[in-house]
Amino acid sequence: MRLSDTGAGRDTGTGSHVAAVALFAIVILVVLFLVIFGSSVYRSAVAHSAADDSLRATQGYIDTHIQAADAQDAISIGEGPQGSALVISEAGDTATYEVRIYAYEGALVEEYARAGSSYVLANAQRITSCSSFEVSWADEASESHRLLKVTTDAGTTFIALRSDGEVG
Amino acid sequence: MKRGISFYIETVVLIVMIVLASTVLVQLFANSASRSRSAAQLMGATSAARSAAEAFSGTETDETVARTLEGVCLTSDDYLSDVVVAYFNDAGGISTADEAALVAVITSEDELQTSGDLRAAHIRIYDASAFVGASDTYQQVLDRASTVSAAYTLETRSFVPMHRIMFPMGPGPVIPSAEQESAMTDTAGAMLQVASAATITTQGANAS
Amino acid sequence: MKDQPIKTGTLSILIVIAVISLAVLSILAYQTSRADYERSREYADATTVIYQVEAEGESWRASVDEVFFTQNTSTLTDAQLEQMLPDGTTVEDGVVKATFTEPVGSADGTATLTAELARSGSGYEVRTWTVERTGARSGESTYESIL
Repeated sequence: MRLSDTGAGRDTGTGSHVAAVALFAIVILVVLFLVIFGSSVYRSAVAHSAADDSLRATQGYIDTHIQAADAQDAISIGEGPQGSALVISEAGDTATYEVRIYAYEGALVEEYARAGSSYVLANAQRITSCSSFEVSWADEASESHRLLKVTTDAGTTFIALRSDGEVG
Repeated sequence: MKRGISFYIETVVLIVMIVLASTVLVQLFANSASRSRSAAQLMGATSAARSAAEAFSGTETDETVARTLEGVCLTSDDYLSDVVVAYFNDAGGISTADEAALVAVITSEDELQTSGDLRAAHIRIYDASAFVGASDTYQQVLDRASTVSAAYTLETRSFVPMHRIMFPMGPGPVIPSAEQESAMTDTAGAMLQVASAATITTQGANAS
Repeated sequence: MKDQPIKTGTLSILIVIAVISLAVLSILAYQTSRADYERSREYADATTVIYQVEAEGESWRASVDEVFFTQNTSTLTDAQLEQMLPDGTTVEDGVVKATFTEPVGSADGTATLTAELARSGSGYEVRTWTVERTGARSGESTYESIL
């Protein structure tokens, strides 16, 4: 007769069986918790990274362009196909050209064209996703406009023009 | 029996390894979450600070900075200093105080010269949650700003020439017209007369 | 085998695979957040430098403005005017010009402010006031910045 055939042996076997199952259940629960927690953290990290990249691409792009082109009468506001457009003029050898920045079909686009020509959407290059883009002068009452007000998905920000035609 | 013991030993080893691995993973995930939040806050704070700096450069006084940023301009009790408090969302766009994720505290200094005013701005961006309930007075704002660490700080300068100090909002000639010059002269003359009369009265009172 | 209470071989393998996958996920999350933070940090540092350069330019403009305000510069030649202006200022063809450069990051990136004031009678107009970033990006991050 084997020891395992006795009641005592069987009871010990059942207890250890339950303990083993419980331990593995705990381990599986811990792994499950880690999977849920980890995937949530990764999703959040990716979302934040995408939002930050979008913000840099939108505001950083506009700020950089304006700062690099701040000259007398170079910055103006035009009318794009779906709202206002930021127009940066540059004098070429034979004609004046414009860089027009505006929102079109959920994206911030840039179009390079001769000054005064109509907007050709097919020529516009996509910069980044941006559902809304509005630009206006913050100091509307002043003749010498010095402060641009830019409103995008992220909200309203300001850009000052240091160049002006006023005599110091 | 031997197999049973070895099974338990293996189980214990497995559990210990799982616990160690979990500890490391949880720390990595927590670190990632924290760093991701910091990156987003820094990005928003930088954007807010840029906006505040541009508003500072595009205007002439602390009051107009506050008005532009839809914030408040608080004055010290001795009326000698101002602080501008403005509110921004988490992406650095203008916001109301109730919905703000970031708060900008802007202090400025003026270096007056004959031809104008060289203004220096000190812009500090804070997490709005750390700045709740401190914005009623000038001193409260400065006290809170000194105890809380800023998410981002930015220093800039702006020169305001004399003609913009005199005629800040335009339109108007940069060089005063004959009428304006005449009006200014009349006003200056009238003020001089009042000052002279006050001096004579004072001297008369002292003599008697 | 009879002494083994449950079949643990398959479960253990599954658990090990899950833990390895979690390790990969954690590394991905860590790298994503770290790269995001680095880009934000560099954007912030570049912003600080750009406004530092702007501040230098404004201080320079204050000095130049003081000269124009206190002197009758309409009678001065470009050379005479240049003598009265801060060091580093050039006056050519009626244009008062100065550049200010500051390094950005630890590599050879720079932020340069170029200010040009056009003489107009006894005063001046701010003709251009441009800030440009040049050179390679800095830091440990290999990501390009829009700035």
